[in-house]
Amino acid sequence: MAVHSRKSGIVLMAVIGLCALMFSGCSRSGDSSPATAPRGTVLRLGYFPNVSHAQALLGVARGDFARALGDGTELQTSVFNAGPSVIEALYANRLDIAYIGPAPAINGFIRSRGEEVRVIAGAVENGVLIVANKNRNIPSLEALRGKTIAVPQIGNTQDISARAFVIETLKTRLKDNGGDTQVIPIPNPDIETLMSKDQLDAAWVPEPWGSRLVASGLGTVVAHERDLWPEKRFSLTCVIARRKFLEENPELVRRFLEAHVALTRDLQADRQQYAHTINEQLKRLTGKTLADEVIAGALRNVEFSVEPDVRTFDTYFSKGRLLGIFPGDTLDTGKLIDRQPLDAVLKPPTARNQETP
Amino acid sequence: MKRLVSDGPLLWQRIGVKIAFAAFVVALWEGVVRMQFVPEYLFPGPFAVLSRLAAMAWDGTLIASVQASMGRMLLGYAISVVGGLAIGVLAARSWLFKETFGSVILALQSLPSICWLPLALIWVGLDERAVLFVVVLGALFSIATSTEGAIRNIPPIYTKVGLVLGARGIRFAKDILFFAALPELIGGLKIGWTFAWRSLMAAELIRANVKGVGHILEVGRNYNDSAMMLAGMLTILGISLTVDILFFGNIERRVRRRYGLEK
Repeated sequence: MAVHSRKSGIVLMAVIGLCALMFSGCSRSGDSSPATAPRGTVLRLGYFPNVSHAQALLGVARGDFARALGDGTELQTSVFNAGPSVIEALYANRLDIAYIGPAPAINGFIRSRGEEVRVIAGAVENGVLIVANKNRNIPSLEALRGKTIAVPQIGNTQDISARAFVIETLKTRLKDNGGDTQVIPIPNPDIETLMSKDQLDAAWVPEPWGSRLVASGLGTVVAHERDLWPEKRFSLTCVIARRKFLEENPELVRRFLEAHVALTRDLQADRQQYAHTINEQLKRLTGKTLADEVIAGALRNVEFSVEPDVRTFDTYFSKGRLLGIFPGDTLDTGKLIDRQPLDAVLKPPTARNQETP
Repeated sequence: MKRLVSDGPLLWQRIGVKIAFAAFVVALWEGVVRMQFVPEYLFPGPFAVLSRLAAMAWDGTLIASVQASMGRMLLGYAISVVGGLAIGVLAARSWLFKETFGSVILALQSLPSICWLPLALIWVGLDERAVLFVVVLGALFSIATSTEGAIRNIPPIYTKVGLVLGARGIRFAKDILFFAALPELIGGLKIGWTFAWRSLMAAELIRANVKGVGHILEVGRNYNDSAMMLAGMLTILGISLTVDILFFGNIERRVRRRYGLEK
């Protein structure tokens, strides 16, 4: 018996030791990316297959980013459906820079107590459509009361907008809280499928998904989200960086932002010229062929600006607080938005971006 | 007088050891968090998780989620038990059924039921029914196969004695088969519950738009809120343990006592 229990004791120790080893392996292993490239020579970029990420689509397709980063740095890209997944990847140290909406950027900043996320530039404004199923009688935003509205993901920017709209503007309750109006998260490509099966009343989606629903004859535009905002404009996409990456690789961030600013200027100057390139890139990412006119239409619904819009962040913070998602009473936008690298790129003050082209 | 067979630890000893070990686990958890292998917002300590749990209990989301999940579970499980028992008895007593449907059931049982979800979504739509479908499929075949096994494993002497004593039809099934198979049957029902529960959690985690305790994890994930994810995991664990220990554990113990397998 004694021998037996000593043996099992040794086994137990071995198991505990193994667990400890595994645990230490779990600790964050610095900046080593899955690729073999040494530290600092890889920039991992995240973006969505959306027209609202036009700079990323164009910059990846034409090779602007790769060129700006130079020969020594490899650009690795990942594509996401919506913002919360981007923050997930960023926390797990699998992304360095990403195009993302303001709400998940704020959430990623607050949840990590300001440790992980910095907004380093603006990218796209407006460009969100509220589209109604053609078979439903939804002539106005008011008629969305009691309906089922699809958004891309729980906690993404449109989800926050739509749920805050139900409470603030419709002055009704969400189905989760015993009301009748439902906001449900469905990945963008599935929204089209479900609307074609007549299972959705409306969709609150970024471009080109809104224009796609209209072009495929499934939906009609009820409103543009910008109509709900003061001065009819809000920031839809911004550029964020992982704080550590920003601190450790200022040169790479600067080069990236130079490309971002140049891309934004190109798009501001003549967006339609790039509709085809953007469409080709979307095809590569989603496997779906769209008419160039759909992309052209979607591009007409967005504005481009490299300026991060403080007002948008403040508004989304209060919307998120209203919904009980964001903890805390204040958002330190001064810490969230790090303008330094952008200002360095924009340095000649005369070359400052115009707000509207 | 020294007894030949020990009664094992006393009740208070068992409970005391359990409480002490629970305290040790919580302390270990807190210790690991404090060592900061990972930042606290990625792996929060017990206090943060418990206060998140308390907050969810306070605003009603916890109760609503548990209700939604348990409602789905009970309905799905009830369907599986009725269907599974019927199929199991048929497979055990009819060679024709066994040779035809029996092999199909065996094949279907080896397919994890969550694999049905994508199909279920286009068959019945993105509502409750798709999740229910997966729960039923999760438990149905496992209950059917273990029911069949329980009946087949009945020592032939019982059935022979039953027949000799004149039990036939319903009487035979009710008084002989049922009681002879009961201990193993309960094991099968317990496994069925576990399969159904796992399928439900998987379905709730994947379908982001159904309320439930699996959904707490999905929401936590989307809010990048690890305290909420851990709170959801604790809730799921709590439900599993309650059902396993309080419900099935008690029934098993009683049956074992009745059959003289345990004091």
